[in-house]
Amino acid sequence: MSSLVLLISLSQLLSPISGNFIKETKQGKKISEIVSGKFYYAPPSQLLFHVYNPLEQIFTFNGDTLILFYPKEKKAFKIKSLNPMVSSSVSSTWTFNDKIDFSKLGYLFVKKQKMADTLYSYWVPKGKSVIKAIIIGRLKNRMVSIEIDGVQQNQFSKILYTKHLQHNSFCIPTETYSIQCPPADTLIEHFTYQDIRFDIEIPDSISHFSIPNGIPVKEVVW
Amino acid sequence: MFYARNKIIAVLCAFLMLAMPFELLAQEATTACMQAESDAQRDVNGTTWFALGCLFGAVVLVVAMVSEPSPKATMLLGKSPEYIAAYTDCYRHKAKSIKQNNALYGCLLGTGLSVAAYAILIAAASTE
Repeated sequence: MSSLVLLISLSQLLSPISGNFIKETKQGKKISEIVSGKFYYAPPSQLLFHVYNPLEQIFTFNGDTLILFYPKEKKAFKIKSLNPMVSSSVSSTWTFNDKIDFSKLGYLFVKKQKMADTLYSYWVPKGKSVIKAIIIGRLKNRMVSIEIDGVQQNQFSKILYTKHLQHNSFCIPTETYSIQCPPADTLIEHFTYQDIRFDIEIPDSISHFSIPNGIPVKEVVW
Repeated sequence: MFYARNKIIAVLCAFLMLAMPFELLAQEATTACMQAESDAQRDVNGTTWFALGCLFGAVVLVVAMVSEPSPKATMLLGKSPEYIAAYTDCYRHKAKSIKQNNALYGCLLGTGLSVAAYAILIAAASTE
C-alpha cells in the first residue's frame, strides 16, 4: 500500500525539488543513529537520496528495485523486491498530496470523527489483510497523521507530518515521524527536510542515475 | 635479546594494525545481522502465518517457502556495503524461518485437528 501512496503522490508533483535531509533513528533503548545528506526529486518518478554522513551513499529506486551505490568503495547493490518495497517512512515523507483516495487502494471508508481541530477518517481493507484499519488525520486540509493498525493487538505504526511548507497546490511536510510499535522494540524514524528548493535544475547524472560501468553489483531478490 | 624482543613487539603491532579492520568488519556484520533479525521479527507476523497454516495447510507452507520478505528500505539508508551484505542475508534467512516455522506448526495443528475430527466421526458412526 505504501508504494502506491508514494506513486500517487509523486505523480501529481510536476516540478523538480531538492533539499537537505536528516534522518534520526531510535530503536528501544538503543542510542539514536543519524544519517544526513541531500535529496532530489525529478518528475515523474526519480527520487534520490545522496547520503554524506556517516558515509557516502546513493540511495534511489528504479521501479521495484532499490539501488545503492558507494562512490568511494566502488560497490553497488540492486535489491529487487517481489513485493512492494518502498517503506512507509520513505513514502510518508513524500506524501505531498492531501487528496489520496484510499478507495482506489483497496480500502472502504467507514466514518469521520473530529477530535479537537483534527478530522480523522477511518478506512478498513476490503479483503483479508494484516492491516485492521487506517486512520487519516487532517488539520486545515493538511494531512497530519496516518495510523495503521495491525490485526494483532497493540501492533500499529503511525506517521506524523509536521511543519508543512506550501507550494502551489501541494503541502510538503518538512518533518515526519514514523513510529512502529510491538511485537519488537518500538522503532522511531524522524526525517527533517531543510533548504527545500522548487523548480530547480537537477543534473542529468541524478535525474537519470545509473550505476557506472565496471562497478561490481550485488543483486538481491526478496 | 633486546633487539629480538623489540622485533617481536613490532611484528605484534603490525599484526594488530592489520587485524583491526577485519575485526571491525566482523563486528559490523554481527551488528547488521542482529538488527536484521530484530527487524524481521517485527515485520513478519508469525501469528498470521500460524493461522493461515492451520486453515489452509500445505499450500501455505509452500507459499511461506517461496515468498520473499520485504524489509523497510530506510533501514539501509546510510549503511556501509558490508552492513548491507550481512543485513540482506540475515533478514531473508530470519524472515523465511519465522514464516516457515509458524506455517509448519499451524499446518501440523490443522492436520492433527482434522485427523481427530475424522476419528471422532468414524468412531461415532461405527458405534451406531
